Amino acid sequence: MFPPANDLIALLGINLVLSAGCLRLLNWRHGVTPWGKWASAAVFLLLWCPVGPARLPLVAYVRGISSDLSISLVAIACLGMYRRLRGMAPVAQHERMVLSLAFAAGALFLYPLALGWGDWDAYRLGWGSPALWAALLALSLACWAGGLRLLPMLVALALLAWVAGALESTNLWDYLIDPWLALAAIFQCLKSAIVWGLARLRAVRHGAMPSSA
Amino acid sequence: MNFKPSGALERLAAALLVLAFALAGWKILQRPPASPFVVPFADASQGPSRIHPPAQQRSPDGRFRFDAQFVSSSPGQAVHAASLVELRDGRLRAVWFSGSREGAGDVTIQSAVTDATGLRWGAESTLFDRQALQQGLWRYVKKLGNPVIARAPDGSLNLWMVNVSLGGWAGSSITWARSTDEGASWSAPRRLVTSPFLNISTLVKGTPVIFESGETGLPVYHEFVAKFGEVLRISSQGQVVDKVRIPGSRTSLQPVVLVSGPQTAQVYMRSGNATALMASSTTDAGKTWLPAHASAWPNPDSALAGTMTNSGTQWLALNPAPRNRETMALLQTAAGGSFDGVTPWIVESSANPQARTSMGDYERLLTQELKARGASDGEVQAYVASARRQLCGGQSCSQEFSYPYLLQSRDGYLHLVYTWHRTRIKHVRLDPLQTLEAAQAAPGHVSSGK
Repeated sequence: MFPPANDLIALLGINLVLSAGCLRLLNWRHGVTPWGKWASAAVFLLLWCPVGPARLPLVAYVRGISSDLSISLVAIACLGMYRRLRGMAPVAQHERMVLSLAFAAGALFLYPLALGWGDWDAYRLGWGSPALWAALLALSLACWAGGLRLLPMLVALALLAWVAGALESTNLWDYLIDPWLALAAIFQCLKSAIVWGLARLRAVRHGAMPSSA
Repeated sequence: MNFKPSGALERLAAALLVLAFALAGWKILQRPPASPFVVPFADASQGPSRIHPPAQQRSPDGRFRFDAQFVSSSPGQAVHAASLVELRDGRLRAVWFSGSREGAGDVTIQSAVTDATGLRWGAESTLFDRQALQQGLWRYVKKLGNPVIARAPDGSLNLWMVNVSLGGWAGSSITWARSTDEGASWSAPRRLVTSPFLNISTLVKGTPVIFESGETGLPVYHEFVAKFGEVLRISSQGQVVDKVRIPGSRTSLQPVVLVSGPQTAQVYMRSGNATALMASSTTDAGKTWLPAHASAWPNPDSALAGTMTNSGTQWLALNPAPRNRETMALLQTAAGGSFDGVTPWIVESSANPQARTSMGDYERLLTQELKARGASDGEVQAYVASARRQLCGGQSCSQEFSYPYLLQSRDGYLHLVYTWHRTRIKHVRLDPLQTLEAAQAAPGHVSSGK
């Protein structure tokens, strides 16, 4: 039995994110090792194995809990995996920071309003609102003008996937962001804020100002 | 690594960005505008007229007559949340969920069809179980619940049902399937995506409404973090195209929409904190709703149902007592009118709703009715055991008549299905135009809503 295209894309996305996560964890300190590569590949294959009375692939059980992942998260995971496997340098700090800030801000705007904080539902914008389209265009142009390319490319991929109806959702928000990406972005922002705060504190104690990076 | 392509790649990235925004903008421009409601029975001549023979059973207060029979026929099961649709040949199809207990992994979506007289229900069959749903949806599913069946504008039947992969009912999503052969077979199930947070916590219970564009308005509700009512707009392909939240509906759930005109409708909702039946209305075909307010009717945190009839009246079915589900009643008023102050039509009620029934009396009561409706001794034992398991504690039991669903068939009859002691689904058929008689023994426990 072969899944419909929407389901296949969703399952593949979850599998890629889990495999990328596995590769990152296994190569946390010592860089990419052959063992880490093979273990990640094994995880990728293992997740397709059918299990249980319904004979569903293992990744389908994860999907029951994780729900479908956004195109943005899958693209970030694939980029990270590609970079590690090719031994390339990490994405520039300022690109990552802008990405984290944008997704954290999006999450703080979307989730409280969608889950019932007030009577206005931000999720509704995702069903073809010109306002959301215009906001994404403004954000992408601002990033492009500032020399940042990663965020505009993620937005472009999400928009193209939404136009094509790649996922089972018809809402643009589900292509742009998901709770796991939101959690990671908020965590990164908090971590950066704490690091910056501690550096500033140390600098004040030593009578010098920290650098803005 | 600086994620900044150079040369040709840079131009390709720019082209991709322009293309993405152009295509997305085009898709947004293609979005159809919201359209007016289709008013049910706007053309009252469409249904076959029938001279209704006198019904067999009198209501508890003796004011009106109806026929009643059981729909479900699996002894020992916990059954709940029935809904109804009229088939093209005039028969009725009911769907409900059934299993060892609510929320158990063995719960299935069951269905049965009446015979040509509309009074005798055939054997029940399983439409969906957990395994079929998992295979169709390509994901883990923990449990099933609330099915709602309705005819789509294109003539096919749609079935929406609640299912959960993680946690309790607040973790629900909605799955749907379509039948083009009156419910004999169903398409592979598909998931509706209605929430950005793991797509959890949207549930369905109320009757859908139809828009002139061929879209369906599905009343749904949200339970995670906050409770509120919403109406989904679903395209003819079954995909969500919009969602409107009913403002001020915090703590309200299970909306029921009553369409009275192309632009006008009322919505009534269950009170999640057991205060009053909540109400709202729209004058722009559901694009916006007025803030929800409490009606004069109490609501014991229990579901309700509603329908419009071809004679221009609107009906609600609900539990009218403030603290229990021991009375099932109908309310009637003119289209677009208020239900406040109307006299309820009591369909079924325990003799003393304020007090729990002793175990012995409860078993006798259920046995008496089950036997009168043809159950064998073995079946009666299984039905009573199921009811006792769910509704009894210590040496006493609470009676329950709950989760109603209303439908008017083309022959003019009003059909009510509801959960009977959590062990059977009961069907009541009545003529909504019958002349009411003087009350004989009106139960004193039901307020009139004022």
